[in-house]
Amino acid sequence: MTTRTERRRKAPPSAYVAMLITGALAAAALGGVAALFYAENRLMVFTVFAVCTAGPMFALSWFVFVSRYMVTSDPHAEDNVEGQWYDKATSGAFHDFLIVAGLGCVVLALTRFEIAGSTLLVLLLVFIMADAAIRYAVLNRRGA
Amino acid sequence: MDNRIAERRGDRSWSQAHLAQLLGVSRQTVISIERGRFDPSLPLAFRLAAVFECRIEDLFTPDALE
Repeated sequence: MTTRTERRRKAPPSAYVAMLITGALAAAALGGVAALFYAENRLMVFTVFAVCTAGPMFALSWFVFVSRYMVTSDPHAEDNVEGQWYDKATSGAFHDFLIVAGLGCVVLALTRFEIAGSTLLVLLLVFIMADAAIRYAVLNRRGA
Repeated sequence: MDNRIAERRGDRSWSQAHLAQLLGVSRQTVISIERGRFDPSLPLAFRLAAVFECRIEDLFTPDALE
């Protein structure tokens, strides 16, 4: 009723078909790209990456093709306190990221410790998401 | 910023959820405004004034003027 997205009618079948086809093709394309970078077991690599990326790709396709029929934006979304909490949480998380990234660079330079780029990115991603979530939860609790 | 939202709402026997519905915002937003933890945007302040049929100044008092 409030911070809301109001539901309308169901999307037409063509939207769901477009979603399924696009999602499947996008996942297969990502699986194909991944297989190009592996010399062995390319079929397995293709399958694993396609399956693992299928969920996000279908979700993205749902957003592109289906959501417009089912969800309308809230014209007063910016007036809600939750929006302010979100802005504060993400802003704080960004500044935390700058500090952590800066300190991390110093530590890596001093210790000459090597870490895989993918591992580092995952760690940073988890840190930022957890930071923002905790900040939002704290603001929510204070405001409740 | 002090406000008289809770008082005005009580005069009309409205629930926070009902006021939130009239304003098109979340109930949590109404709660935060009433507790003085969230200053509403200008458009929301105008909607509040319209809902309570009064001026914005009748609802909100800036800290410096208290």
